[in-house]
Order: sequence, then structure tokens, then C-alpha cells
Amino acid sequence: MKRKLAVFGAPSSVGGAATKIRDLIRLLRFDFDIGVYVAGNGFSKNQDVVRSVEYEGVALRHRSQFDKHPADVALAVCELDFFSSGIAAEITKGGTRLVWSNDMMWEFKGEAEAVREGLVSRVIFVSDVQRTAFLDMYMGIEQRLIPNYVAPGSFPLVERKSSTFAIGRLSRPDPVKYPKDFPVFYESLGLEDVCYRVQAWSEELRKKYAWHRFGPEWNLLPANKIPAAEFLSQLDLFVYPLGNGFVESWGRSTVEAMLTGCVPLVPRGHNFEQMMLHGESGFICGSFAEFKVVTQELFGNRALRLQIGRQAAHHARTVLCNEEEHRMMWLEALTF
Amino acid sequence: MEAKYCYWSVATGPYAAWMERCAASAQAAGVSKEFHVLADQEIAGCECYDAMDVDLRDGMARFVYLKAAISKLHFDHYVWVDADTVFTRNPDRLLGTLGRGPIHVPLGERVDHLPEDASLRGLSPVRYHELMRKAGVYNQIHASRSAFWIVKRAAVDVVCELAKHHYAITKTCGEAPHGDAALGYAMQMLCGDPQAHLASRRPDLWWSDESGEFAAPDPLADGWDPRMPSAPRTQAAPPALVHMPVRRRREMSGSAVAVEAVPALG
Repeated sequence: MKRKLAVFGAPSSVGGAATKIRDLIRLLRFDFDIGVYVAGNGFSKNQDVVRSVEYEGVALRHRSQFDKHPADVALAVCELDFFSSGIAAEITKGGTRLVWSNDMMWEFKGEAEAVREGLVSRVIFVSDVQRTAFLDMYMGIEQRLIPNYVAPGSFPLVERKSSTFAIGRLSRPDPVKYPKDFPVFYESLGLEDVCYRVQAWSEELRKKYAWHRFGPEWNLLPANKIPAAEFLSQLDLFVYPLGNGFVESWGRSTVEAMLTGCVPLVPRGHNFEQMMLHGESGFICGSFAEFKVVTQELFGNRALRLQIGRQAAHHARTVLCNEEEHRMMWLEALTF
Repeated sequence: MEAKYCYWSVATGPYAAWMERCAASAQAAGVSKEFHVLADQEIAGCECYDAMDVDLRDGMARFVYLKAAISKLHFDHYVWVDADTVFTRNPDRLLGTLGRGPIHVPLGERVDHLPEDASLRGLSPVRYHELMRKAGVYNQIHASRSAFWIVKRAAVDVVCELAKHHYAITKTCGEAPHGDAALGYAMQMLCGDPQAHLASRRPDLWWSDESGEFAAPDPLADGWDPRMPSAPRTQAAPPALVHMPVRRRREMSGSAVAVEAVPALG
């Protein structure tokens, strides 16, 4: 008989945590009876959520129904109110072991208290960078490092054929993820006849860069305007300067870009050294000057660009998003 | 439509005379742009405003003047010149130095290439570098002054915010903050490509005569000797704007005003 796994968090095709949950359900559906517990009432009518759980042995339920369906182990992923709502305490009082994956670089409300009270049996970190940030809080708690898994099938490799060279980025429209000089950064790369594409853009970002005049070469899209895979497949280069002081805990959109064959150019630090081999499956740049040199080289050399893109896609498929390796890591992490 | 700009500065006490010479040199060189100056007296050739009693010592007052006064003037860009600057001709493509960015401060040497015992407004290069990194500069860090710089009107707020941020970090770290570093920080956070803003990229535009070679009694009659050790070497004509801090210090020390008593603006 399969063990019972309760997953807390809403799966969908949009957003980092939601897509992670969607892909985990798919990955683990043959190993567990899975109950997916969501907080709001509208989820059962959300087709995106419903489609994400349409597997035999997977049920979508409201959080309040947990006590009617006790589980052996509960996995909560990046649920903002998971500790403050009291649900973590509810789950564990019946003996269910709680595995928690925060996924962010900051602690959630009530998280530290819950750890002190012993509610978290095991914590999952997505990278060493993230683990380091939580070193003190999780001292003495069992830990596992499991990088995120992105289902490669959702991001097929696409050979670039567009006549207009496009660089861009995909991320939350959070201003802290963008450097102070973002539009100048792109425009100073010195590319001719280029299109700059950004998703997601927001009113907050517009205000942040109100001093800049965005010309017609800019294509600034609101969140979820275009499905991530489609958006990324329209980019030649994924150029990803980050906000000054911001630390990326993993780098989902970078891996998604790689899967589609988009060449990633990322800043030094963060978790990017774990994601790519510099010069083979992407480029890690220590300064604007390095971003510029690499961008111009790739702009002028289509064959090289396509080759690195293919290598990035291969690396992402076989190393970063190896389905069986991830399944084994999760099975171990969810077994007590 | 062509962007509009004006020159501006702060010139109180003995600096007023220098500002007058600066504006006169501009006029003689065919510059038709306006000069707006925070001052404590009328200065010929300049539109003057009451500088009031603002402490100028740490170099941060310029951000207060910029935000509270100068940015109310209807220009697209504001070009700061130190009072001890002379125009040798009307500068060409002045706003071109901005590139795509909202600010231009001529950048000097990389700080990690400076001798260990160099002083950047009282900070060692290592400490200067540390503070810039701590405040978030990602690229190689360059030294800079504030004798000549340009800011886009729409970016005045963000420049002032960044300057204040650097000031606060420097102070928190137990060092004496200064407006030069704060301005250099704002510049290096907003410029995209620092290489495009190196002073050496525009030898025709601006040069600071740090060794006093360009300091004969009448700067406009001095002529230009490209063999001078610190002169830009790529051209036969002098830069359009020449900053003359050494000459200013020499003249001031010869007058009744002690150099140390004069607020450092450049």
C-alpha cells in the first residue's frame, strides 16, 4: 500500500512555488497517495489548479479537511501563512511528520517559532546559498538539499529563427530583483536592432524607472501575459542582472530558459555556479564589462549561440532536471 | 527635440569671484547656456539664489540644493561645474557623455589600481572599495570627484536617494562620509557601463588640472601644452572645461582667506 502524502500549497502553471508543487505531484504520484491541500475556497473552480492534480490517486482538498484524511507525512512548500495560520500545529499534533520547504531567502511569519516548538521534522533547502541564510534557525533540524525540479517536457527546446535578436528576462515583478540601472544596463550592451523583452513588468517597476525613456525596442509585459515556455523560447539570450543586494535562492527562470535553448547570462554569486558550466552551458559574468563582451560575441556569432543554447538545454535536462534523480531525492526526504 | 540644460553651482565667499570668472570664460567661449548659482552675493553672468546657511563641509549640500532648488528650474538636464573651472570653448556633444544613462560623473582610475597609501577624501582605496561594495556596487569601482557632473532632471530623486544611502552606510561603518563618494556611488549604481563614463573617454570635454600646470595668471591666455604631464595626450587643443583646483588653492592661500577655512566643493 502506498504511503499517504499531504502536500500543502496550490499547484498551477504560473509562479515558482506553484509550478514546483505541480511538478512534484507529477513526479511522486506513483509513490504516494497524495492529498493536495489548499487554503482558499476558489481553487476547486480554478482549471489550472484542477488540471495540475488530475491523476489517479491525487485528491484536491481544502485545508480544513486534513483531519479527515490523516497522512504519514506532510510537505509544505512556500506557503506564506503556513505557520501563522496554525495549520502546521494542527497537522503535527496527530503524529504526521512535517517536511518544510521555504524556497525563499527570508523567513516566513511564525516559521522560527514553529522550528523552536519542534513542528518541523525536516527542512528542504533548494541551494547552499539558501541553506547558509538559514543556518542558525535550523541548527539541529534534519536538513536535505534538493534543488528545484522543473519538468523538462513543459519547456521544450526550440531552435531560434526570429529575424530580430531578442534579449530579456522572466521573473516576478519585484523591484528588488532588478538592478538600479536595469534599462541602462540592457541598452549599454551595445547591440543594434535588438528587442528587449521583460516579463513581468508592473506599475511598481514603471515608477522605479520613471527616469528612463523606454523606446519602441522595449516589450514590457505584465505577469503571465505569455506562458513562460513560450516567452522564453522567443529570447535569444536570457540576460539576468539582479538587484543590488538581492540574493537568488535558486534560479528557476534561468533553468527554464536553459531548457528552451536560451543562452543564460547571469551575475556571479547566488546559486548560478551550480547551474551551468561557464562558457559551455551559459555565462557567469563578474561585471557589466563581461556581460557586454559575451553578449556581443553571441550577437555576432549565431552558430556559437545555437551551440551554447543546445548545450544549455542538454545540461538542464540531463543534470539539473533529471527526473529519476529528483524522484529518488524526494523519496528519501519524505521517508522517516 | 533637443534636450535643454543649464549649468549650476554653489559659490559662496571667495568662490564667488571664481564663479564670475567661470561664467565670463564661458561667455567668451561662446557658451549661451544659463548659469544658476546658489550664492551669498550677486555674481555677474549668473542667475543667483540665496544659498542660505547650509553646512558645506561634507559635500552633501549639493544634493539638497539640487533637489530643493535647482530641479525646480525647467531644464531636462543640470550640469554642475565647480566655480574654479574655466571654459576654453563651447563644449561639443556635452550630453552625449550620458550615453543611455541618467547621470554622468567623469570616472577616474579603478580604486583597486590606486596605491595603498592614496587618500580618497580621507579613505584608503581598500576602505573606499569596501564601502562601495557594501552599498551594492557590482562592477569594478572607480574613483571620482564632483567638479563636473550632469544629471537628468527625471533622475534627481533617485540620485539624491542613492547619495543618502551611501552617506548612511559610510557613517554606520564609522567613517566620515563625503558628497564626492556619495555622488560617485550614485553614478556607479545608475550608469550601466562604467567604462563609457571614464574621463579619459572624453579628453576633449573636461579635465581637472591636479598638478597646476595650466595655471598661469590668465588661464585663457595660457595656451595649451599637451606635453604637460597630466594633460590628456590625444589632442592638440585643451579640453572645453578645465578645472583648476591647484590654481584656486594657490590664489586663495595668497589672499586673506585660509585654504582650510574654505568649504571644499570640488
